[in-house]
Amino acid sequence: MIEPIFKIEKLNVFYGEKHALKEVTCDIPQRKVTAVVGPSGCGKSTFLRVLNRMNDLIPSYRHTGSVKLLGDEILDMDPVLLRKHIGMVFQKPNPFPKTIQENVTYGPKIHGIKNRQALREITEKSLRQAALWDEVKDELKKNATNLSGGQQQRLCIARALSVEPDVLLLDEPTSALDPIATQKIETLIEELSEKYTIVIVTHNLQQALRISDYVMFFYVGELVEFDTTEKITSNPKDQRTSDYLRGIFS
Amino acid sequence: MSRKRIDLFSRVLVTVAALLTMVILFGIFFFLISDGVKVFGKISLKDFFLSTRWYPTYEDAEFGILALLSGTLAVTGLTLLISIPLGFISAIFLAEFSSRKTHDFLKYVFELTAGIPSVVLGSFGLKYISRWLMELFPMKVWTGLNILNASLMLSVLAMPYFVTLIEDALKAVPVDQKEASLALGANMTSTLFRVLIPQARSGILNAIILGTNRIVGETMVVLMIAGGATMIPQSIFDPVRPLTAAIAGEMGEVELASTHYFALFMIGVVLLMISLIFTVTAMRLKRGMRR
Repeated sequence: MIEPIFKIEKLNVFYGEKHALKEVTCDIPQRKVTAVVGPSGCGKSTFLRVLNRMNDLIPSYRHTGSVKLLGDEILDMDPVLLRKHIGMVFQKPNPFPKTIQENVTYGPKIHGIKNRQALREITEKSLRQAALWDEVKDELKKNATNLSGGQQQRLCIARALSVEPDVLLLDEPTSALDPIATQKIETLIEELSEKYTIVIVTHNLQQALRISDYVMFFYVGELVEFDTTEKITSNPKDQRTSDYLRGIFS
Repeated sequence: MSRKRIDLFSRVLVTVAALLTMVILFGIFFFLISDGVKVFGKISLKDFFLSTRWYPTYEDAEFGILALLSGTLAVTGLTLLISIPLGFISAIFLAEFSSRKTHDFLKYVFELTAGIPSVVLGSFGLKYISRWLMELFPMKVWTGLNILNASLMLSVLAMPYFVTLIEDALKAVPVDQKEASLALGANMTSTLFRVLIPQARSGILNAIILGTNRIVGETMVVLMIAGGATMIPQSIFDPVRPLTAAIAGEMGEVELASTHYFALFMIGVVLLMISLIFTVTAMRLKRGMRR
């Protein structure tokens, strides 16, 4: 297996009394696309949100175990520092109601970049990486909320890339988009995986199989199976995985 | 009753209620204005608005409201200066930085505060604040009943409005906006100032309008503790007689259909206008913001 970026050991997550993730142990490989799949309520979004400490916003949330990002324990880390290294894109496109440029430069500005030229370069680079530059290069001053849903989502990807993260977390990024916009995002994910580690939660099993190198299958808070996409599809070890793949429950 | 009939019935009910409200509102406007303008048969517009001499019961009675108006503006201004920053900070704390328990407790406290009758606040100012002010600033204060006293008590009244409404405005910003900012490595303070407050600004403005209208119209507190002197204030320790205090204090003893009587109605119109101008300006600003 390729050098892991995340080493996760005996991770348990609770919301109040609810045991949302149980004894999850796994290594997430670097610069690969790992798809997190499983039926609704299995804990896949929770798992994703452990990785950038987004769950900390929920008052009843607590966790035990260990999650290491390149050797550093993130469960003790300052979430603000951690999140600079881990970008996140959400289910529903959520650009700020500001201009396209301001959306992309928000992160860099927060982290202290003030030079206009530098900010302009970051804007172009990030938008190019998100395959949006050609569509918006003449209207960077337009409000981002005027873009189409698919464009908004790519803008959110550009915004996440603007702070040069190592990891990109995608939480069902295409579930609110039409098929054509979805396809564009999928192509984009494949391109981005050359430079970034991508962890994507998806409800769409076909999508997971199309774009991922590895698949994690969660079932009721348990990590049932984690392997290369090829092995999971050709030869699932657990009955629950093969049931899920055959669409017996979703 | 069939479904269609219920539908029709509720539509009629709603329309009648709406019409009734409008009729009442315009009725009040009409009677207030029609009585108020009669004052200009006796007093010139200039004397009414630009003279500071309000001596309605003298033999040569004078009806200049400039001093009263300045009293209203002074008390309102100082109250806003005290209560908006406090209310704003409390709202931010409640919306983003308090634990569930503290939040619920403080919210309860503010709700209780909002329920204090203004006459009770007035009594408190009359008995305690006035004495404390005299003791704290013995060189400056010549009466404990003054602008500062009234503004402090009015702030107690207005704060819960500002807190509740500003908190609502902040909470109305979609959670995904906050998450987007935090996920980029922004801390809570940057998120607040760069994302939440800008997006809540029209709600915040709304809170300020409602609160200010409440302060301008508040009568009992200023009647009891603003001092009642008809003078243009030079400092926050001067006593004043705001417009509402003049109406409330004098309406009971005024001779019906006298100049004084009409003058008091005209003051009512002026109050209405202040609130109207303020609301319309704020609405304009809000529309501008949305663009």
